[in-house]
Amino acid sequence: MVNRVFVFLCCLILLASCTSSGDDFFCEIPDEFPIIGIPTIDSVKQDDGNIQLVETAPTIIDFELYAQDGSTINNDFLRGKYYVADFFFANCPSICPPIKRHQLIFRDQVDEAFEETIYFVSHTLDAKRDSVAALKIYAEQLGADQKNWLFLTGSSRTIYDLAKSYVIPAAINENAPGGIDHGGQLVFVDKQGHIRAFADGTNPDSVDCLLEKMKAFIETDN
Amino acid sequence: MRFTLYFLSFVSLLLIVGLSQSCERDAYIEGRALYNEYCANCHQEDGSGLAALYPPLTKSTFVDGDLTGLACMIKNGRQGQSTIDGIRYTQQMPPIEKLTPIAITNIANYISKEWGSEHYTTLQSVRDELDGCPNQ
Repeated sequence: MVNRVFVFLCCLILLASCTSSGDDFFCEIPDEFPIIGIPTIDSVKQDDGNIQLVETAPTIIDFELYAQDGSTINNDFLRGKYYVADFFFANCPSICPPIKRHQLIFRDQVDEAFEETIYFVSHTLDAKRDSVAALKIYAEQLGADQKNWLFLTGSSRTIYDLAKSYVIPAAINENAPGGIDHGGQLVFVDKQGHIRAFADGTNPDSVDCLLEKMKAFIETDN
Repeated sequence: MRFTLYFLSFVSLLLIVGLSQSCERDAYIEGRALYNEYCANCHQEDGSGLAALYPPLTKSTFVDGDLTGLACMIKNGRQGQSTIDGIRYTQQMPPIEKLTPIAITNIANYISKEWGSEHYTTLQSVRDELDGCPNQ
């Protein structure tokens, strides 16, 4: 009897000494990449006098901003391109550096996987300090591939409105690190300006999840 | 007699499991936690920095030398440019004013142990240095 109790206790201790392997990440992006947001519904009068309801999928609002090379970027420029949008600022000491690191890794893998151009569009939330010249230096120091990676600045109002349109929270807050509170999501947008997926830019597993699902989606989307 | 033997083996097993777990912890657990909270976003958990934006701590003269100037830099941040290992860095380092001298000592010793010359600083020398920081 003592023998069995002894063996049982020993097994119990050995089992308890095993450490857990940590949380497994669950990739939540659906394969069909549904358009995200609330559609607008308009009533259109037909020739025969009947009213028909027409549903329009939501798109990113109109904007005009400047890239790090000084060129003007607007919706027309991005139409016909897949892109991943995010909001950051150069002096952000909290979530931006890890997000930018994950974006660099993502970018490298995109280049390997696709001939087709996919853009990164990073908007500064600190337009006062992040001028076109400052963003140019930032992009160079980050080692970003600037052919396909836009760093946008311009009117603060436009950028904060745009953040709302991308469903990313952003607000000036002097108690936040660097003075601006904002979300760290990466937003995947299709060729027509529809939001199709989000990833948590601070979590490398979530960024990987977006990359893998995005590859499969783009292959079937054309 | 037999029972004593079982009891002794049981206690030894407990000791082995307990010790092997506690030995995995390093002596710089506080410094590591503080580093990960306040420094790792930019300098990375492995101290490698990020491209030419944020310098690595592995080759930094401040970490590889005798830690002079490190306490003031952690506390007050750094403006202007510095060249480390041939790369020019211009991003400013923000001050972390709420760090106490004990916290700064722990961070300095942790990064020195991980990536530097294992030159250790004391609370007293950190206090002395903080009293004479250039931009205070």
